[in-house]
Amino acid sequence: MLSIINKRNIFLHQKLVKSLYEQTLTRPLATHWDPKFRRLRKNKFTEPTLLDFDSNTKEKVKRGIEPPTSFIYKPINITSSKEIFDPYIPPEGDGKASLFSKEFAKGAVEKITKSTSKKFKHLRLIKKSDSNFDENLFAETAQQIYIDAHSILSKRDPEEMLNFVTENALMKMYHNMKFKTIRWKWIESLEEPVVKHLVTREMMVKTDLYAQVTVRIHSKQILAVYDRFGRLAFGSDTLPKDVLEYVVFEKHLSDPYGSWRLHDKIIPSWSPAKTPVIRSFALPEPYKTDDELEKRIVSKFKGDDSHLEKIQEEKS
Amino acid sequence: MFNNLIKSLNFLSHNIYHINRSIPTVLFHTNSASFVNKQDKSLEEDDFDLQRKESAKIKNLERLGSIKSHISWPQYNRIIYPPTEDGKPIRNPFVHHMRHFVKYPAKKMWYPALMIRGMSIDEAIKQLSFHRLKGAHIIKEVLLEAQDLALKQHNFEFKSNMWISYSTAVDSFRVKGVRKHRAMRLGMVEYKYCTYYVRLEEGAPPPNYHLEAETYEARAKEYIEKLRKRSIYLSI
Repeated sequence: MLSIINKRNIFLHQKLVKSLYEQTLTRPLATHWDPKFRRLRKNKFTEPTLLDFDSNTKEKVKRGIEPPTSFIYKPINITSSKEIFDPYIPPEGDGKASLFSKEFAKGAVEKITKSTSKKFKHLRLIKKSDSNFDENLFAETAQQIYIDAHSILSKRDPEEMLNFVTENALMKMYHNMKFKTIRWKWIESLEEPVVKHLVTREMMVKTDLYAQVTVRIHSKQILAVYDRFGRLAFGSDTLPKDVLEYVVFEKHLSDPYGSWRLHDKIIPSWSPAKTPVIRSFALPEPYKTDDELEKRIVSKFKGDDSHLEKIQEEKS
Repeated sequence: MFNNLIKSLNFLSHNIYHINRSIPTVLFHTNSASFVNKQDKSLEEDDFDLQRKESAKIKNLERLGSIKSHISWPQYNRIIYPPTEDGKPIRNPFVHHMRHFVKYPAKKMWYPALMIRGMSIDEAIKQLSFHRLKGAHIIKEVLLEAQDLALKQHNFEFKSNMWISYSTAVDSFRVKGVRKHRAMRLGMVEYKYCTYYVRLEEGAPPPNYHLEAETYEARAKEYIEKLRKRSIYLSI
């Protein structure tokens, strides 16, 4: 293609040839034969108000244009809280080791949480609204609520789910489930469900009471998650799995129409790792955390059990 | 229940897919059903009837040619296909993406869009980055956005295992202005906007995307098959 007789020739040839892209960048835009009347020629055209769809709001704010205001009023939910009041710390080796093994003796002493000493006082408050509250009975009803909530997941109906699940849990369960199909089956429970922890808390005012109960559920389940196109993404349709979970149920006691609903799950750090997703994927970049935002978020619930002291005063 | 079974068996022969409707921003936070005016579910139609209606809407709009609006194109991304027994999906996985109200005439935008059809995404990005038109760089941005969407939201596995099966540029709207000529003569000036539509599919690009039949006999056969595929709208 190139004549390689003289090396100097090649150098000149390369310089002269420019790609079309480079030519467009460097050629002069104005090519009129008389540039003297350029400004007057501009006045022949009207300036229409062209809308700016391409630029972002950040660039517009720099220029001085206000960002668009949105009048979406966010709803405030009073029927559920967004946190776990006094998280139960499950002992290590719970599902694996038996009572008389070394592993249990080493680290499996139940760590005392703050308000286990005041358990009966919390119970009294719950029995004021629910006179027929029994711990053993409640554990079985809680398990049934757990089964109902997960079996309704596959029908994409958030209004039905709110009967069994609080808004906090619906956020977590529903968001990633929107464009997928889920097949979930409950096979059997390996151990009886046990109530482990009871807490009540006030929200700002004396009369607002919320109650949370943690239940330990050991069961066998089948879970299969399918893609938007029907491909298996996680789990399997035939192999069951043993599942140990500490599930939190919540009730708004001062609401006459309140009911026990699934609120959250406590996943201990020593639990076994999840099975990997079937398809490979690239790790996303880590999110940046807003330190200022985290300081501003203050829970409306009091962190004390000070409302329990008043019960003794009423007695005496 | 038996009626539902029959309906489902009849419907299995046609396409089954469920379209996810938009979820309201406000969640009603009362637990009781007495406050909410819910209609009786027995009077409502089954899920299959609703699916059939919505799928019929899209099919009719496609026939009439008004499907490529900037509202309906990304709704294809919300269709959910049911899982199959074999494991192979009913339809090759795809992603729809677009950019609307681009300040560029559609006639010029159409040329790089035509160039891309049938290419793999890596080659398309390479070719567009050295194209002389401004529209090509806009198309490149759209392709990169679509690639990100596919990886994160639609469960595509590899970044470069995609190809472009559909790309066009279409007029959207024009703003009219006026210019002055020599002596009390006015002329119209149009400032043009367009939209650009793209569909990415998973897999290697097919080898015969652009090839047409080479012999006259094969071309005649294709033409006759096209004519026989037609269906008359609103016929018995």
